[in-house]
Amino acid sequence: MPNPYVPKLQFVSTPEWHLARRVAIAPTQKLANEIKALGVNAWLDKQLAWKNIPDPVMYGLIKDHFSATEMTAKDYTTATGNQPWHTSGLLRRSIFLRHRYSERYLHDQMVEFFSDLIYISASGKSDSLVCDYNRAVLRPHALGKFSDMLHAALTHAALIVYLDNQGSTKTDPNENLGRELLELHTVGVGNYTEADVRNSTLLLTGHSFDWNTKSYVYKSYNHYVGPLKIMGFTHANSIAAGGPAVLQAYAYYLALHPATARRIATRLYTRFVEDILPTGPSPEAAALISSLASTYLSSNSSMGPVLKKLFTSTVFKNSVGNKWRRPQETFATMAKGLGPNRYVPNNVPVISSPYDSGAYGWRLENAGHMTREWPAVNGYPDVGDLWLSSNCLRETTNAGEAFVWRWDKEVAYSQALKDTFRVKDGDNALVTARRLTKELTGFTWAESSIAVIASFLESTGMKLVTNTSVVTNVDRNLTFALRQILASPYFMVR
Amino acid sequence: MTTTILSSQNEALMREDLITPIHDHDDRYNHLLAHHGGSTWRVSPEEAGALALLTSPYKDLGDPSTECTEDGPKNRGFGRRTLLKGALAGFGALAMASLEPRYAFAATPTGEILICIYLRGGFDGISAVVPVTDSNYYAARPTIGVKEANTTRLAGTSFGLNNHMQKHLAPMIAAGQAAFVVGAGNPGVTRSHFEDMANMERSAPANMRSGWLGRYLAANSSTSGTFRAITMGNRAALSLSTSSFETLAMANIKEFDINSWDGQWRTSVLKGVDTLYKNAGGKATLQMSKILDAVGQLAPLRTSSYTPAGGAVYPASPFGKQLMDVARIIKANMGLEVACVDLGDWDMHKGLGAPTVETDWFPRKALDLSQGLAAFRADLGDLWNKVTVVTMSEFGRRVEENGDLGVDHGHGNLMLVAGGGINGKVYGNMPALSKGNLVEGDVPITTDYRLVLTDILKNRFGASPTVLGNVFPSYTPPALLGIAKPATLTTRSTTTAPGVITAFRG
Repeated sequence: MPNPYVPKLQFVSTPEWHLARRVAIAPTQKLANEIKALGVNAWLDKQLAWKNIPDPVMYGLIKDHFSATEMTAKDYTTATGNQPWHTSGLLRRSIFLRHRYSERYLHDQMVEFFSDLIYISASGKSDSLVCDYNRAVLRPHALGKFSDMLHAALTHAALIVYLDNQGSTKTDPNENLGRELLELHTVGVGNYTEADVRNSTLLLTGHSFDWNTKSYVYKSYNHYVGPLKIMGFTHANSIAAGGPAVLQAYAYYLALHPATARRIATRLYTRFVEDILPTGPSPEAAALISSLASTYLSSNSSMGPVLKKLFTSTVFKNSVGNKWRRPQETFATMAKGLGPNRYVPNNVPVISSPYDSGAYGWRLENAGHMTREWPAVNGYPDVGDLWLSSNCLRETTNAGEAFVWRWDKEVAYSQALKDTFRVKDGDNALVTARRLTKELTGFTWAESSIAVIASFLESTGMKLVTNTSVVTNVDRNLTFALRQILASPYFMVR
Repeated sequence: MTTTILSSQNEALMREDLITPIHDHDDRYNHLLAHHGGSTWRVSPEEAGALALLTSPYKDLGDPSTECTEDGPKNRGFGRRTLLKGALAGFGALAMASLEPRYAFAATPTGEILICIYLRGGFDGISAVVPVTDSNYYAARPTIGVKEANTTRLAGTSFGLNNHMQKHLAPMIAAGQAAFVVGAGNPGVTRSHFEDMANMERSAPANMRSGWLGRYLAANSSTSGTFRAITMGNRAALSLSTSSFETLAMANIKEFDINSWDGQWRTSVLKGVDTLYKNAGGKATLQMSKILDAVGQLAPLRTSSYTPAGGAVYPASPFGKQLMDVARIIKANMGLEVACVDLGDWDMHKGLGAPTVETDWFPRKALDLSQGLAAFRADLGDLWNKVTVVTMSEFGRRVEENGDLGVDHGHGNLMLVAGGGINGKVYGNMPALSKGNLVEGDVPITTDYRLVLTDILKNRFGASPTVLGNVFPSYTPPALLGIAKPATLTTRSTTTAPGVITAFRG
């Protein structure tokens, strides 16, 4: 099936590159080679056992600059000199650095997946708490069970504050969390009634927040007592002290509801396989989604079996080139793809300027995809349509220019481009263009687009190439050619 | 509601999941495509109607493709009540439409320009147009109520305009070019930011994915020049969504460029990108063509410095800069018809501010808004006569101040309509704000925001009842308030041929 946004392009790829492009936020030739060497199943198992992957570069960055992201809210409040909201800036940066340097590809991808599902914005009400949310809720459970993640989220200060539950009491209930829990986090619209929202809200009363310890606290005196019914869930809820137990039962009920299974399966499909058109999923898509939902339920909402089923399915294998990249993916792939590099922060210690995400962060903001900064409670959209806006596409096209000329000193490359890409004056232009495009995108490009790249290698795009054209002025022309590769629609597809 | 052939055809055309009207350059070849069960085929209006009757519009409420959009979760329905009843919303003007095919175009260009300013966050209308003779208001807002002394009475009314707005709006008020609609809003309001903003911008039943402005643009013409509709921002406003074409979004003129070294290589870089994208087809080709066209057309504006005309001084804010950019585009005669601009951060739950302190939250933003509008008017000079500005916000705010000296989400609000062709005065009505008159503690909505927009589209833009029925389905307007003067039909010339983007057929 052609990519609906670029229907004239054919996407030819090896299976290992295809998997790399979908699983990793920033796939590379090196990663594709690693998948090929291990084999798909073994590689997926390795990625699922994420804690066993050594990840030395990211480990070093966390230790040197982002240790706050591994502390509890209480501890980082102290560490930041009682300015815990600064950690939101550190968190955002640490996430996009993970995209560039971490080797726990599947884990990072799934952390972001869930960050958009049970979304909490880094700016705003929970800015002092999101760093802890990422540590305590998203990261531990992203490759585990959704039921565990949901319960952890509902008993975490960040979500409680973000959706105004801390002041929700039996006499004055606030429907925000009670509603979004059903609408956004689990079953989705059309599966519950307003009465369900009401009961969901009452169930959640009392689950609150202690500013001093920066943590979740249960206030039994605020909890509504009395029988509750939400869809198929019922509970006598007969004592105030029983609130936490009721919440736990409710969370597990919701996580294992068939509508939740279907919804999460559909979102996974959209993330990893293709966008579902407004006319609805194809029969094959519907079958896979159904199958994923079944696996989700039979494995007690475990991501491992669901993901393995997805990535080894025929539908997945046949979905080469179907997804349009979002800026976080595009920029990380650009930065990483242009050669070995290190992160060198402008300001050290980074806590001294916590919100300074550098030129890289500024670019993400301009493209509308700064980490954890979607302005509404429903998280970043994952449909290509919306990322093809004129401003976003223009920003993305420009980003390539910045990366190839290496204006951002925080991305410190150790090699000249011609050494990274092994190109020299006199190399055949078309042959080189085919090799470069394949190494950077994993796709075999159509010759009409290869010709564009080759023309930059030969003459900075001034002349049409022939079979005997060669690379000239390699320092300049290679840079221009790479910029064109990064600006092409082939690069925008994962 | 009787299910006549006519109303089922109307319903079919509202079912964007089911029917796509295909607009040809030659209107004789306009036709309908049906999508169902994985197939796509050509249908007549009668067949479309029959198909619509057979398929339920609310079947797949969990439709994953509409999960997340830029303005919040979809499938909300136009008001929760409509959604959950599962009933087809009343079709209002559609049911009275003539037998003329709904997808034929009756373009009646007036050369007018519409500027929609979205005051996101819930603008506090009664801090702007203050009910200074209402003791209930002062009783409810003992601390943050705007004293009469800090307002200027709007002639012949019981309202005073907050002096932070009066300061800059005085000239246009004196010229009779500013209309204030009190108690205006969206009847379907739920007090949720993203839901209500999305509802206001789509102004349509659950399964319609387009926005009111997008439908207006598509109804008037199957094509859209590059600068016909723009959003000053990162992505196109939801109101402008339509399946017929894409509209331009830009953060500002100055940076709307493809970065490259100057000189000969710039040309080859742009040409290279153009070729790569032309090889791709589909939406990608259309978007990049639009971008490159816009980059080219904006070049003279980008490379020249600009001095606003008429002594206009824009506020040094993002809003001010964006309005100035819109003014430049208008003056450059680039075919602009609609511009959407955001001025957000009105969600004043806490610390709304003291009216006498200019740097406090509401005063500061009110100054930004009014200074921006005043500068825009001065800068445009005579062109102001062809421009209509309208403000919208997802809801107003509660009458009673809260414990944090702010106000929570409410209902009725103020809409400001300004322009050279406006009958300036106060419209709508707001009762005394005694508890008995309020709706859940809020200013009641006595004027549907669509009435105001209908007034503007009909009188300034010559929109026919058919077009209006398309733009605001499920809405039958009562008598118009007469806010906008009827514009004379003129054709607008453009100095450059706008890049024509044809409908994307996939």
